[in-house]
Amino acid sequence: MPNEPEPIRHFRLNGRNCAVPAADHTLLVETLRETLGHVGTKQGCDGGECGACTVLIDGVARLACLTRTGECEGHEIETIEGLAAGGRMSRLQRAFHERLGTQCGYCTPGMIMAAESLLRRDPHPTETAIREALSGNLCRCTGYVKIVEAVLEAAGAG
Amino acid sequence: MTATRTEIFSAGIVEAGLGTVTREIPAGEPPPWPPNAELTWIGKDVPRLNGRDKVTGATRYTVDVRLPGMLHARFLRCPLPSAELRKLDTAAATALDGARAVIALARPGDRLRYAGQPVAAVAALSPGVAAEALAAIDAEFRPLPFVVDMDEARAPDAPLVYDEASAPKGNPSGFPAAPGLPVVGNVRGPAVVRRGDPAQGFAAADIVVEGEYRTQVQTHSCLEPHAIVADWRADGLTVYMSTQFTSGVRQELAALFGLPLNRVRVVVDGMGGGFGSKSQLGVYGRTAVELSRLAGLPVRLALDRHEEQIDAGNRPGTFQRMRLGAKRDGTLTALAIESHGTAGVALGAGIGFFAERIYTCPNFETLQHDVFVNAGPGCAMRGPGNTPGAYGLEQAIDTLSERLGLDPLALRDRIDPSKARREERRIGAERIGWSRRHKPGADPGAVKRGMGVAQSLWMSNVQTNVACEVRVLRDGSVEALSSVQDIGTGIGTVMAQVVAEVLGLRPGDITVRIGDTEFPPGGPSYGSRTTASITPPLRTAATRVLAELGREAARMLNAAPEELEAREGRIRVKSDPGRSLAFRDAAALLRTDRISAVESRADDYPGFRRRMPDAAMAHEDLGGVQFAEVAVDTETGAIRVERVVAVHDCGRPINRLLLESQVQGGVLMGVSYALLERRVMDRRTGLMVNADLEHYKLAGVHDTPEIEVVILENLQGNSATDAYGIAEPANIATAPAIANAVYNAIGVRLTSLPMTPDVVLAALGKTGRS
Amino acid sequence: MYDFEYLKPKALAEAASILAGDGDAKALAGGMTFIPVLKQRLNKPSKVVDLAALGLSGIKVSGETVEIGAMTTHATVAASADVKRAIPALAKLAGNIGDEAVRHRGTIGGSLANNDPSACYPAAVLAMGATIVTNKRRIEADNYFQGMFATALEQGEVITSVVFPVPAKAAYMKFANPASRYAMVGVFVAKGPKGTRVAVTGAGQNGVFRHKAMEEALAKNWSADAVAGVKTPADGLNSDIHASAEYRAHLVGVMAKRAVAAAG
Repeated sequence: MPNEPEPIRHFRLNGRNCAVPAADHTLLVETLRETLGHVGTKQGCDGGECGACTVLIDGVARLACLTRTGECEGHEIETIEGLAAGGRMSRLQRAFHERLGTQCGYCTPGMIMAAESLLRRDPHPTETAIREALSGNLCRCTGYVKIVEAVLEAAGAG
Repeated sequence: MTATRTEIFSAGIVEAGLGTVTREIPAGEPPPWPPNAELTWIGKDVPRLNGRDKVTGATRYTVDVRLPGMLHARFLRCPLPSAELRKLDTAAATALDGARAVIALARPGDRLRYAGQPVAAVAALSPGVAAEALAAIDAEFRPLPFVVDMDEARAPDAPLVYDEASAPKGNPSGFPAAPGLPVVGNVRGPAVVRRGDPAQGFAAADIVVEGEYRTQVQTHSCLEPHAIVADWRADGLTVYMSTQFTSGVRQELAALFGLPLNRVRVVVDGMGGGFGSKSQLGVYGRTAVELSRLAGLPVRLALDRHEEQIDAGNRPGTFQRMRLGAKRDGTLTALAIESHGTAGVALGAGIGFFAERIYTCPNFETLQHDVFVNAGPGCAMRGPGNTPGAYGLEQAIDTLSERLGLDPLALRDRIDPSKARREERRIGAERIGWSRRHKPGADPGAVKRGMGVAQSLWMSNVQTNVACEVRVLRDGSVEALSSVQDIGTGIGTVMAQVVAEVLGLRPGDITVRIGDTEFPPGGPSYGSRTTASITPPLRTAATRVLAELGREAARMLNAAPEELEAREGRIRVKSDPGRSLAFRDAAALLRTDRISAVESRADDYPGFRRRMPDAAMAHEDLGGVQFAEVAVDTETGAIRVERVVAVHDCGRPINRLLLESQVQGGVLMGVSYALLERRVMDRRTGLMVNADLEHYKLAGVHDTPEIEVVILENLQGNSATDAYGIAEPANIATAPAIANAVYNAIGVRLTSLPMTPDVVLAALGKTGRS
Repeated sequence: MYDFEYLKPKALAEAASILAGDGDAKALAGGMTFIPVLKQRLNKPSKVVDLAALGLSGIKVSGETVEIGAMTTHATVAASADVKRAIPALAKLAGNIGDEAVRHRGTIGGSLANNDPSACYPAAVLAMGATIVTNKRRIEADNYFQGMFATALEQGEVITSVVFPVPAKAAYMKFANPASRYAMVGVFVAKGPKGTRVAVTGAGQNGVFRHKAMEEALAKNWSADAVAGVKTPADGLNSDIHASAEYRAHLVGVMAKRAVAAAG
């Protein structure tokens, strides 16, 4: 079937310029995972229910499964792959690792990005604020206890 | 006969005082380990070795696997709960540009038994083309009468899900359901377990307690969907699959496709949760492989969330009718339970062996029935059978204790023979502040608080068909290998701890390669058996490989090999630690690039209680006691679980950090089961109404109580590591502990799950039930 | 998702004329509801008209009113010092919609145009007697909501802002559905320039509604006890997998009582 070429979208991805074809209806999660091979961002539901695809757009937590790639034109996207600058784990990543904020790990990228968004806005959040910030992210394994502890620890260390 | 030797093991609960036990063990097995306090890595908090990959997004899950030329597959599913397939024409789909393979999974005339049952599958160049190809399939379904409600299915005139000839036959092993039981209408069974004479037992009772309990259907809701990438080639088949059992899937594939085992490889790296639902190859796995074979290209098949909720397994719902007879002092005289459960079109909806084994009761009977309904097949889920079974029995015991005027803990002290649980009750009562517990409903005010307790029991499973390998390379690096997979529990880290302990290295020095059938066949990650199965042969293999290294080192150190020990990265003379070699330098003495030892699982030292072909059950069950503290808003009916104290045992704990996380996760899954989750089937359409994660409610971070975990060190001298599992026991006691706490808070007993706010208010008599 | 023609006009008139000229064209605000609908192929619009470039976001507070641009996100309303000062109950309501990611994307205009029967904003609009401003006219709240997912908006009519008269007292209490945080029942009580009003969301089969009996009780005596005595009939209330109509009727009373207590 003949198709028109998809328009090229320009945005910053993890600090680098990125130009990628995406149709108007293409979702950011598809562009990241399928076109760009950034598979660290996960998909756990059919749209907006699990938080596994949480990324940062201009520093704020957003769901890549409810964001059209076209909307990202000119914006700054950050994914889990961009957090470990120079291969060094960020303080949040380190805390998730050391405090065992992971089990199967499938929710972890989204969980960390949601927490990252919080810590940028509020470097020393209360436990209540942490729970609020993570309330859109489902985890089926850990019971969330060590996840909350990890974010608290990262905040304390920061 | 293998040669044996005698060893004396520390035995008992370390926290309560140790004794010893003498065992005759195979001569080649390593000597007993002392209690954890005397070990370097065992029993310690070691963070996950692959944790860095998990937190940086580097872990590759099956859904992330991309192979060159990979096709995308999708299912056409039956849209009706019960139908005859009238027509299935795939010609247009096959002819579609970009479609590469189409297969029919049913034939015209076939009866389809649940909405979502796979009917056909396509593989195409992209997910979009696959969707178009599905739409191009001409399928006609003739609607047939259906039933999705278990109670309605039991009625004599209910539409039949199966006729007698087509009904599932059960499994020779008896799990999940015994073979040879009668089928009448939609009801199969009963499966009977009986001992003593229940009628006489009830006659001898001073008090008889009766109750009815109902549990809902729960879906596994793994965050990573069921997924597979199948790569069929002329020289063999490679499958990347989100599976709990790589070597089991390999066996299934080899048998199904007539391939020798050495031409089938199954690989899993990251695995996004299973909870029992990813234990077999499944229709989706088989279908992807068949499509790859037909297309000659790799095929990816990943379920979407909707498919995941309707056709990827579920925990069966149950209805339990219970009678309990006791003497005034609490001694049980009789226990009789009749249960009906539904696993949809499948079998295995019983209430397990919880009641059969947990309390001393001479006269006992269970009659367990499976009821077929037109809904997706159930399968094992975290503590199958025992989880719903505990919800019923532990509430009945709570009721009995009240009727007897006994504290629930005192009653259990009388009727529970488990030493571990006795200690767990003592510790848990202290931690939760059991002495603060008031009489049922005695809390004044609109928000009423209460405290409850319930117990757990699960079998100490062991896979006997398990092997692993330890290698030392000439540069001193070490590898541990097995096809065993990490479904999130952290078994790779546990393996590294065991090898590090033996070799005197750090866990980070060990490279663990798992999740690939190229390595010695490891066991499954289900039944809470992985640690119990893999760590003993691993310790033995590491011991053997160290002995080989020691022979080289001994020459260099002018000592006899048995005089050496491996500690702190060195091989040294025990009596003169100054005489030593760095582990690396000892390895440099090797005459080949690498030495290796492969070991498989031996029997537990005292033997097994029961042996199946590839698996076995150790003598002592796993315990666990959980205490819950709840607050019930009697105006809205909302239950808030504020605190849970979970005290568990799993033999010798190897990694407390990982174990704590397992228990916390098990508890929250129990909270979610108790308060939120429920598969809702529309009785008029036969469809699942909440096949998503918005209307199917999973506990979120706001629902998490404070969870305090205590893990006993319960040494038994059973194997080279003495370690057992914990994932399932952690889930079993939570819902009944919450239910008992709710009763203590409001003085009204809730007997069905989930305990949602409207159920609470109706029970309080503030609203009717719809 | 279905393929569709995507348009992002720079002017309100242009957006309105596209929408007016094509009944199958749909307006896109934050997309929190609309994109899932598109993904699940429940809706196949001919054109999707993105309202993001029309300059419709922003908050203006005068002495007597708070005007919120249609494309203002929930997060912006929740964080606005002006809104917190003028109508704290509104800021709080916005801060409790969905989760973080939803609040950064979902908009007040999108919520009101969609008129989901369990959305929170409709309760605030109706209870405070706000005015919905469109490219064509000003619509009083009492005339705007016309049943579940139905509003007074005509084809080609686009919400540009909402004007809330500042009440003397107001509070919102909701009993949130777990996970989604949609209101199982939400009650907004307000005493202000438009009178003493009580609006209920999440409960009605026809979406948000005013609770006249409670309004009368509160007009006589603004106190939690006054509403606690008012019984809400279950007739016409929503019954679904999460709760029965009778349970919702009971919750209306509880939430109203708590809202009045919170409003002071």
